[in-house]
Amino acid sequence: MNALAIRRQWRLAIVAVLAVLLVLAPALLPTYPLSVLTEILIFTLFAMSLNILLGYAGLPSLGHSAFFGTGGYAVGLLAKYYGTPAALALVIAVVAGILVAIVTGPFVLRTHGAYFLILTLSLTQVLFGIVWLWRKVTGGDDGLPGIPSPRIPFLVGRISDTANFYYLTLIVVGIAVAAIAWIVRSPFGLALVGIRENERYLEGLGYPTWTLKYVAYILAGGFAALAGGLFAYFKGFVGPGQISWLLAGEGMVMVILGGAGTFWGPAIGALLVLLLRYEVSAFTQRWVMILGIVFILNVLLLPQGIVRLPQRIREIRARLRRETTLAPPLAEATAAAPDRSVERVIERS
Amino acid sequence: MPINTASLVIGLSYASLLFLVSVGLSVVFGLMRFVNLATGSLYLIGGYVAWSVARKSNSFLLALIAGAAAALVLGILIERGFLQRLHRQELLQVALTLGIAYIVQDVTRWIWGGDPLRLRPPAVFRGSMELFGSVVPTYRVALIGIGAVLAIAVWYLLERTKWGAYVRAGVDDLEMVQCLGINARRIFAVVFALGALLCGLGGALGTPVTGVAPGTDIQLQLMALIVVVLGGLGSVAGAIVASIVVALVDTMVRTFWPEASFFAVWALAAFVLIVRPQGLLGRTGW
Amino acid sequence: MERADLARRLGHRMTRRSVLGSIGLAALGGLLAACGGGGATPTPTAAPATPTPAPTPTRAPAATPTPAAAATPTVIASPAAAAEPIRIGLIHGYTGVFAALAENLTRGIQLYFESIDNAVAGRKVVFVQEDDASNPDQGLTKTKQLVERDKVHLIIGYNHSGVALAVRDYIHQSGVPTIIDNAGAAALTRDPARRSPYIFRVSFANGQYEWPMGPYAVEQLGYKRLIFTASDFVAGHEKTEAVKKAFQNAGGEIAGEVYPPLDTADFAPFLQRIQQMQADAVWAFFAGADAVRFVQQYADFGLKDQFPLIGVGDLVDEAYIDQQGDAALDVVTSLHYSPYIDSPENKAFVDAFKAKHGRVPNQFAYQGYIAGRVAAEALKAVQGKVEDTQAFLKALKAVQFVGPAGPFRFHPETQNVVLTVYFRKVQRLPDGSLGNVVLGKRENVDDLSF
Repeated sequence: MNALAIRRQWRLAIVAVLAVLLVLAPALLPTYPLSVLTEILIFTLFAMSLNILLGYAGLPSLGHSAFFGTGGYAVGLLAKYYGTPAALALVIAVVAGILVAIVTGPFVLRTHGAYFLILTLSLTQVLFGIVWLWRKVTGGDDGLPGIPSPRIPFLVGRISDTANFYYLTLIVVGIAVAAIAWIVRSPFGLALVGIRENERYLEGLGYPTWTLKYVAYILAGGFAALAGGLFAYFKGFVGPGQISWLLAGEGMVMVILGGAGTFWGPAIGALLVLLLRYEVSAFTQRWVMILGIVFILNVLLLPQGIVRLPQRIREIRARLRRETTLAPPLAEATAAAPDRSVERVIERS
Repeated sequence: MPINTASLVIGLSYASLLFLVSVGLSVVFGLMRFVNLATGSLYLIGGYVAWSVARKSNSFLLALIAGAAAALVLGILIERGFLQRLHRQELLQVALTLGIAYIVQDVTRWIWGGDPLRLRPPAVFRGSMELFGSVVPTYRVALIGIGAVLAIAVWYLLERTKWGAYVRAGVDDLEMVQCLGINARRIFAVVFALGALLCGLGGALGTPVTGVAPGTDIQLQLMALIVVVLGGLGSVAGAIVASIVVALVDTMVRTFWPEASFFAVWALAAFVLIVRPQGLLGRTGW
Repeated sequence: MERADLARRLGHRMTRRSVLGSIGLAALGGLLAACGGGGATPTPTAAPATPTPAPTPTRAPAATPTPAAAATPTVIASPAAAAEPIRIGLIHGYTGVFAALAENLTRGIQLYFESIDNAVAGRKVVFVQEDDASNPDQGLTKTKQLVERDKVHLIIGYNHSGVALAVRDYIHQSGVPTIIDNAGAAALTRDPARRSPYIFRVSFANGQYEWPMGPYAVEQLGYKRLIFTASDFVAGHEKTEAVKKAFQNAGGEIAGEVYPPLDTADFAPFLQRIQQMQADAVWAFFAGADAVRFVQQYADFGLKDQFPLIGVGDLVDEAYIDQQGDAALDVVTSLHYSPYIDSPENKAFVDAFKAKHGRVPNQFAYQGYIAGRVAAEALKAVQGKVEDTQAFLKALKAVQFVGPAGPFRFHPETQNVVLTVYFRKVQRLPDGSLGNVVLGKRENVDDLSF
């Protein structure tokens, strides 16, 4: 119990340092890495919203980009045709994402597993097709360029525009991530995990599992739309690529590689995938292959996600110690055993 | 405009290709619950290798064999090397096979460049022929024949032989099969290899129609997923029916309402799954 | 009971979380290190080289309009400038569907710069090559990298219209001279609100080399009724609209239109539709894998005997005309280039390209070559002083020379190339291969002419 308390303090300290670093980032980083960091923050929100479905509720969606794109196009269309201010446009984007989820939810939640995967993919492709073909309104495959990027008013002139938008993103994403943290730790979030593990059992206990999944689907849609709206402002344009299932697949990879069903996993996954994409491609044209190799290694070496790296290291160290010497470490290993068995239980949950 | 023989031939020849690509995926998906997102890559490899061999040897038959063999080798590699360790971990399979798809994409671009390549059909099947009053390319008719023969062979193998009974039993209840003392792992491996082989053969047979280029893999991967899920996981008959339905609907929409063809197939998939969440001939959802 | 169970899990999850934070922290540290390290390129010393110093329009004497008089007295450049190489960013979709196109553009650019030993006015030229994957999101990030981290003086690239449109505002704001070598989105130069003094286009605007086929079909080929078919995306429609309008103005009649989606594996159903129509010929625009499939299947279904096929040069590009084989024979297309243009400049280009890459250059290799030449001519005109952005832009605008496809110049208003459009027909050459033989041409076609 004592160890637990110490760990909790450590955790607080680490989160605090992380927060300070994020706040100071504009002072520490040149503009280009700062804009990459902005993108990482936005994709962290996107991956975390997908994680509500994929990791917590066990619903493998390959159509999450539909919400991202809905948010983006809401922002783009409002900016182009009505000149709506950013704060209002982002709210409307979230509402649009939630509406799409409310409408499609009852249909997709009739299916499970692979069928859920394909149905979400199909609906996303239909939406993609509409956006692609409705050239007069959406600009077709050229998209809607020239979305004016919002700024935090009192910082204008004091810091660069890149830093300004970074802070805007940090605030919005920070609030959203805190909300997600609260949601997944609430009884609601724990019930979702229960559904993932054994839906029938939870149903037997009297949980309204369908409603819980529906709510999770709607929440995930709203957060993804928020990320999409921010992204459209960040890039200054919105195009069908932001609805494409490829983006949904990338989000899925971020969640899985980082650690599905863990809170920080998607953030780490987003960091990894975007850094690979932008940094490796600056060195070699073969970055696609390197991305593929990293995926495979990640899956084979850290199947529970990068988030488990410390546990993996501890496991391997313990195993090595057991194998090399005999008597004293054996006692140590058995002493550590209960702890690890607990972890294994968690990993299964 | 009447639905004439030509559109039927076009639709059915396309269905043959779809069937070859998706039947392996379907059984593997249903039996082993392996989500293989590298299916399109197997098609791509089959097509590229067939193209190279045909160019060197001038023999279409040899090209077909080589294309199928290349996909077989890659399939065995994927299954033995990676997938067998990830039993029942669908999410990891998705990430892993996506990684493989990335690698294959890059390696093929490295070797064959980015220009689209096309294999010429064998001399016997070049040109057009007249069938019930419509002019149709001979190779399309041949494709239908090949597709039909292979479909019947696969169906017979899985539905009428003892070995096929094991496989089907595995689709329905894996634990029970293992309890009966049947080596499920070996069955898995053989089924996976067979699926890869058919997929590569599809790639080789398909290149005279679709050609191979970067992006062909993604296209075929998506079509295969639709067919597999529409047909119902693990069902050979389902894969056959879904191939034909998807190809015919696609062909009809393209002929009568070209603008909608972009998402007609997806709308069809969404509709079927909304009405029948377990696919056309699927037994259970999982 | 289940409450207790959940509470227990909650407790466990807390213990686990402790570790997660530390990884996040480590990863962020890694990011800082990676980006900071990478970002520390020549930043501190090259500070004055950044793009937006207050422009000094006073120093403009270097704007010699005809650099053909190459005997520019090489004034000794300031030693500091001579020491530092000129950095050019090359950005194309090297991965993905347009990989081959990007490769050819780059080959063309490099071929030209190699011919001048990668140096202009005593300054070395170095390239920073980046992959936008033909994806607008990635294209914008990569452009930022080129400008903010690599501090390039000039960007050559953008094969994809979506990417070019997405980066337009950023380029305009950051003020980096940019030469577009393929993206055809018409608005980039035709729309006064979208033009930018920093953006030049050496390739084409969609419709620019398509529309002359309209009058040509009526007057020279004698086709009064045409069916139009093109890939269903913005460029396909922009190109088709331009040629349709010109065709109707010349007295032609539209017999039908069919727009198959991009990446159509099987054109048969669309061909069926075309088969039912009545017309003199079919005009088509397809590119890449779609072009190979379309031309092949067009012949397979016997349509070639029914309607002659005409269209855009992409239909029978040199990169894949051999894959199409006899199916491509007799197809008449319009384009701003053909490797069989009979001129000494073209012969020199084709021979050099063949010697290096063992194949005939296609339109994209040509566009790259022209982009390289334009950049080099402008650099020469300012004696390598690329840091003076206004003077360099002025020099770019004034570039004129006779290239492989005839005289080159920019339209003064749109900063888009003024082309010579060639009408070509696929024929079997004496050596047995297929080639786009030139039938005729139309000179001085700019991007406001349609």
